[in-house]
Order: sequence, then C-alpha cells, then structure tokens
Amino acid sequence: MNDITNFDLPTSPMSAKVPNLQLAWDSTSLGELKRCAQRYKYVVLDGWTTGEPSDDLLFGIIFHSATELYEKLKQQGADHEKAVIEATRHVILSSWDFENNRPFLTGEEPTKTRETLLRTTIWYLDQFRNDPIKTITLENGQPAVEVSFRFSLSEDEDDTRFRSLASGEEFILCGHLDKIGIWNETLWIVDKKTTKYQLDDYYFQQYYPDNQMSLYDIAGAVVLDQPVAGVIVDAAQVLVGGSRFKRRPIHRTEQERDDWLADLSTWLHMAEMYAVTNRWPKNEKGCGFGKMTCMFRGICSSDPRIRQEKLENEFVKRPRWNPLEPR
Amino acid sequence: MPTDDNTNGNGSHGSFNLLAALRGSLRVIENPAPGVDPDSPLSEATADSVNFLLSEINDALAEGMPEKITDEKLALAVDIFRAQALRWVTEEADKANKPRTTRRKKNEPDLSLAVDIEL
Repeated sequence: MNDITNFDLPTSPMSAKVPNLQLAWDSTSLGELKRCAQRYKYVVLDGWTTGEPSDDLLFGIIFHSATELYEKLKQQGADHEKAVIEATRHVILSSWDFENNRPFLTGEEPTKTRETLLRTTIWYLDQFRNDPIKTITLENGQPAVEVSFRFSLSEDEDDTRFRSLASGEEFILCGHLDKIGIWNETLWIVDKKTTKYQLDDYYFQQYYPDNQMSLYDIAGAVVLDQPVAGVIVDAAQVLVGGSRFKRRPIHRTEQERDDWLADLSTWLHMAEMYAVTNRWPKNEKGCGFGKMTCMFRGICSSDPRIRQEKLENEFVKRPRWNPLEPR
Repeated sequence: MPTDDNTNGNGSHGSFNLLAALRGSLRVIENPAPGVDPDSPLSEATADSVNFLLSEINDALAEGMPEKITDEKLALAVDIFRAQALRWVTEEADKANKPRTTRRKKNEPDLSLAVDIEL
C-alpha cells in the first residue's frame, strides 16, 4: 500500500461518541450523502447492496489494477512487452470467478466484456508506452500509483468548520489516487475513467463542478509537498468494436477550492444533524429515471412499515463501507 | 506448419495446436484469403481469433489449471489485439477523412476528433 500521509487515526471511519456519525469521508460516501441522505444511510452506513458488483464497476477495478501492475513492473525494470503480458495475465485471472468457474463479467453490458477489457488494457498500455505523464516515485521507492491519503481540514481545536459540533472530533478527508505524475514540469493527479460515451467537450464538462475531482484536487494541494496543478482525467471510451483514449486537465482555482470547502463544512454538519436526529431525509429529486433509477426507489416508495422487510428480501447486507481500508 | 484449414478447427482434433491455429488466424488478418473482402470488418477474423483464444483460456481456468496460460499464449493474445488496433486506427482515420455529405444528426457521434489524444 502506498500511503503518503502520516496521520494517526483509528481504523474506524465512525465517531466513537455520536452514533452513525461518519468522520472519515471519501468521495464515494460524500457523493452518496450529497445525492440523498436516505440513500447514503442505506448504502454507506447500513451496507445494503444488490449483491454482485456491476460489470461497469468490475471493469473499472480490473482496468485500474492492470495498469497499476504495469507501472510497478516497469519501475522494477521489466520491459514494455513483459509488463504488457503480465498485465494481460492479471486481467484474465482477475476477471475469472474461480468459485463458480465462469467469468465475472456477465456480458449484460456489451461494451464491458472480458474481451473489451483485454483490448482496452492492451491498447491503453501501447498507446501510452512512452507516457508524457511521468509517474513520480514515492519516498518508499514505489511508483506513485494507487496512493492512499487522509488529512484533517481542521486548523485547531477551536476551528469548528471541520469538527463535530456535538463531540469536537475532527472530520477528515481520505481516498485513493490512481496516480501522481509530472507533466510539463508540474505535478498532476491522474484519475482513470472508463466510459461508453464519446470523449468530447460535453463528456469532460461533467467534471465542472464535480465532487471527486474537487476532493482530489484539494487532497493533492494538502498532502503533497509541491504545488499540484490539478487533476488529469485519463479517459477510455470503450465501444463494442474499439477503444479510444483521451486526457484532459481539470483545473480548480484557489477561490473554487475555498468555495468547495465552505460547502463541505455545511454538508458535514448536515450529516451530523442527520446522525443526531437519526433522520435521513429522502431527496426525491435524486431518485432518477430509466437507467439512472436509484436501486432503492422500490423501497422508498413502499409503505414505511414494510421497508425493512423489503430491504432484507431484495438486498444483501455487506460490512459497513470503510474508506480508510487499505487497498 | 498448419494449413489455414485448421485455423477454423473446432477443437475436436486430438492434438489441436492453439498457437499454430491462432497464428494461422493472424496470417489471415494480414493477408485475407481469396474471397475475403479486405475492406470488410476484419473484426470478423479477429473476433474468431479472440473468441477461440478466450475459449481456450476459459477451459484452462475451468480445469483449475491457470498455469496452462503460458507467456506464449498471452503474447499471442496481445498480438491479436494489436492487429485489431491497426485495423481500428485505419478505420477511424478513413472515417475522419471522409467528407461529410449530410448534416450530422443530433445524436450521431462526431468522429472528427476520434483519434485526437491531447496528452
């Protein structure tokens, strides 16, 4: 594990004093909170899930880990061909469900299959064989890929912006950065994305504003000892017949960072209010429609007296989401 | 050396040689056989190779023998996907260079920037 912070922290992300108050926040849990407090409660605090991870999620996870393995092997001295072959082996083995003797990727999403995953990985590694974004080396000698971070935003004990109002405990931000690299003599955080959508201006506009990009941008500014220029979105468009790649820098000004942090303080105190009152209001405007429908729409639209039973029948409970867990 | 006949083998041959068979497929990719339209989506030939290779790999995994997935087989898989990439890049360039005679429909993808890599 690459950890670039030396921050003494309990392994639990939760408050020891206020039930259901999350203190350690990553972009996933913060994103759920911003979308809908009730959904946040179901997904993050209670751990309800539909069971199997989606093909989209699996595809992204394996693509990330394969490209990360490639970087590590190159750093250890392997040549490009050897590193590509090992990354290919990784994709093949990681995408196989050894328990049930079948591929994990079900083929329900035609662009996210085992074949398109292999193709995208190999094409990506060939495309960026001489990557202009040079991965930096961390103090531990490892390449800066899949780098974990966590930091406190509270300046001192009197700074209530990023502390629990009830207990005084600090809120912290945490997460995992795909890569930290140097491009044009400046430091950048690189975040890989896979999508079926075209990589045009419209696609990249989704990152202005964007919770994850703002959080990573601030993380880079806080935890690295050099200024960070921003986040580069390293996107792969995966189609049935081919894959395309495009990268684009995402900038945040100092004023935009401050604005996001001011909002963050409000969101965290709202989370505390939900926890203290144990009331998690539904944001009906976040239920979505069509393919974007929230998986809990059926629960939230049912009679409150049968919701728990429906949850237990229709969902699987996993351990509570822990953003501090090392990868 | 195998003939092109067994590039389309169904695996029922007792000593079917995967590597030789797939090399045969690759040869087809580079030099289409008579009757094969070189401008047709070669993806068909490539898709056959990919499907065959994945099927062999799945069999090895299902048998609990991942060690059968040798470096040589993986190198072959990489070659097949690279052949596919060459085809794709050519097709993309052709599309980008083709003059538009009609106005692009609202939801039709704009391929003019398709191969643009900014960084």
